[in-house]
Parts: sequence; C-alpha cells; structure tokens
Amino acid sequence: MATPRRVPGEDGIWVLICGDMFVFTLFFMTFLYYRGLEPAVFITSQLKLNRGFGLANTFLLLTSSLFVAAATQRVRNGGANPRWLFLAAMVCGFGFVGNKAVEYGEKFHAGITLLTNDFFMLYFVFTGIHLMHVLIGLAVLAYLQKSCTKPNAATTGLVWIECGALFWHLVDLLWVVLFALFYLLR
Amino acid sequence: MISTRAQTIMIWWGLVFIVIYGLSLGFLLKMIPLPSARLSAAQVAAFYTANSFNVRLGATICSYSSAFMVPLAVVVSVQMARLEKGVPIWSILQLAGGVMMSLFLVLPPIFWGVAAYTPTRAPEVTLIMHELANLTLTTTDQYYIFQMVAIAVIGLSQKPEPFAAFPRWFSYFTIWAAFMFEAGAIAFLPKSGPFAWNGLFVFWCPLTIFGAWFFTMSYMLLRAIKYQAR
Repeated sequence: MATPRRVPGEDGIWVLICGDMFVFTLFFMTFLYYRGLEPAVFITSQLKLNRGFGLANTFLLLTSSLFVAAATQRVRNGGANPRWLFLAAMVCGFGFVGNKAVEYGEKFHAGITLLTNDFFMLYFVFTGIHLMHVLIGLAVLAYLQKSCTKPNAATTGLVWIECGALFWHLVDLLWVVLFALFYLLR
Repeated sequence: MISTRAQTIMIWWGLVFIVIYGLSLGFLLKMIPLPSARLSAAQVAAFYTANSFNVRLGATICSYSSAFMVPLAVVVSVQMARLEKGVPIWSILQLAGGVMMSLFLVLPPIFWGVAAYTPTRAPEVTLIMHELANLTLTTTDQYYIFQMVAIAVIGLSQKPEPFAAFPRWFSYFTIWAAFMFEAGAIAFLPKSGPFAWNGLFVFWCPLTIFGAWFFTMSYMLLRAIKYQAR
C-alpha cells in the first residue's frame, strides 16, 4: 500500500531554504548585471580562474550529496551503517574547503584580490559566503553522523536528519549555479 | 512570576522607537540610503553645512530612540529563559548581543551629529567622522548574529506548541536572516557596487531583512505574552 506523500524535513526548514535561494538568486542577478556593464573585464578575468579547481569542487559536492542522500535513505529504511556515508560526505566537504583554500591562495599569490576588479569582488564575496555555508553544512553533517546512530534516528530523529540533508543539498545546488556563472559562462 | 504587562510595555517601547529611529534616519539624517562612498571631502562637508540643523536634530532623536532596544532585548531574553533549563546561557548571549546592537545603533547618529556640529571645519575632518559613522552602521552586523543564533537555538530545541514566542519556522527564518547579515563587514573594502556601504548587500538587504525580522519577532512575542497572561 502506498504511504501518503510527505514533504521531507519540517515546514520551517523550507523557509530557510527558499530564503537562501532567493538571496542567491539576487547574487546571480547582480553578477549578470555587472557582467552586462563590463563584458570584456568579466571575460578576461574569468580566463584567470582555474576550471580544474571548479570542476573538482563540483564533483566533490555532487558526490557528497549522493552520500548524504544514500545515508538518509538508509536511516529511513533502517539500513546498515548510515554513519559511514555521512562521514564520507564530510570527507568530500573538507576536500572542497581545502581545494578552495588552495584556489584562493593561488589567486592571492598571483596578486589577485577582491579589489582587482568587479569580477573578482563578486567572485570572492559570493564564493566566500558560499564557503561559509559549506562550513556550517559540515557542522550539520558532523551532527548527523552522530545522531544517525541513536535508537530514535528512524522515528523522532528522522526530521532532523532530513533537515540537515536538505541543507547540504542546498549548499550543493548553490555551488553548481556559482560554478556555471563564474567558471563556465562565456 | 513575570509581569506580562511590563513585557508588553517594553516591546511597544522598542517598536515605537525603532519606527522613530527609521523615520529620523531617512528624513532628517537623509541616510537611507547612505550617500555614495565616492563623494569628495568638499561634497561631504557641503552636505553637512547645508543640512546642519536637520542632521543634528536627527542625531538627537536617533541617539535617544536607539536606547529603547535594550528593554526589548531584555524581554526577548526573559522569554527565552522560560524555555531554558539551568543557567540560561543562550538567553544571556542574546541579551549581550542585544545590548551591543543598541550601542551600534546609537554610535552612527552620534558621529553624524558630530560631523554636523561644526561643519565649517576643514572638510577632511568632517569626512573622517562621516566615514566613521557609515562604517560603524554597516560593519557591526556580527552582534545581531549572536542574538539570532541564540534565538534560533532556543526556538529549534522546542517542540511545536500554540502561541510559541519562537516558533520553529521563525527560528529557521532567523538563521536565514543571520546568513544575510554576513556580508556587512565587507563594506570596508569597496567604495562602489553591491558591497559598498550604500550597496544592495551591505545596506538594502540588511535594512529590509532586519526590519522584517524585528517586526515579526515583536509580533510573535506580543502574541505569546498575551497567551501567557491568560
């Protein structure tokens, strides 16, 4: 028999998710607006970004999201070892942070800062705010890998695990759009 | 036993005076939005010369009304402490953040008032006071974040109940508002664009989101206190 459909997490988490998506939409529109004002600056600046870093980070976050989704599914169905999947997602997340640190370092080393031009101002601030989301997301995952082993994880604890997983997917989704805008858009 | 009447009065003080603060900020001080950071010292000095009386009157009203954020922060902490066990550490953090918020609302009007006090002085001197005021207003959001984190923690540790002072959805809304306040301190770096002190993400977003958050919270508190009084 089919179980009734249900929105994952709780209602409130969607306030946060929709609010954050709204703000990042503002970010994306701001980027496109300034890009329209100075197309030449944006295109030459974009060529200075290392697509390898961006692509690696996209893979890391997408993979981590897959781990989180699989882990949540296991918690829900009482599957074995969801904790290892959350830990694997965290390893990917830390990989993202390390990668970003190297990428920023490379830019600073080349004399590029957020005062270089409007492109790099937007690049550093938007990816920086996103990085803050990743760090908060990692703290959330650290909580999930602990709470998923508790006896109530599949019942009363499930709503927290779903909320945390939703937040991590949001972090992933926002990065995919940032990646497309900053690294790929020609 | 906590006086629900005293709490209601204190919230209304906060509500009325934040509106007065906002009106005075916009119409007397003319700081909504802040003037461009690219103005020269002579242009800034000319603004304070032309608006000397209005700015000083605005500074008087704003510096007075910002004090009324303290009693509001006290009510928030009292309502939070009801929900905490033992030493109410999150309530204390909220109160500390709220007191600092009042401080960082009072400082910019004082600095604008000083700038307008003797506008005939050397323009560079007026400029530094003007810059100090604007950067104090825009780069001190982190204290608001402490309030918001504390409120979110308390709200999310509660089970859903009718007429809660900090409903769960409001806690998530508060986390979102805290995210949006992150960008404020960037105002030190650029002089134009969305992260300058008059930019979209440093001025407009924090202003509107703070307004929405402040009024929503006040409404929730008034509703909860009314329910508790029954």
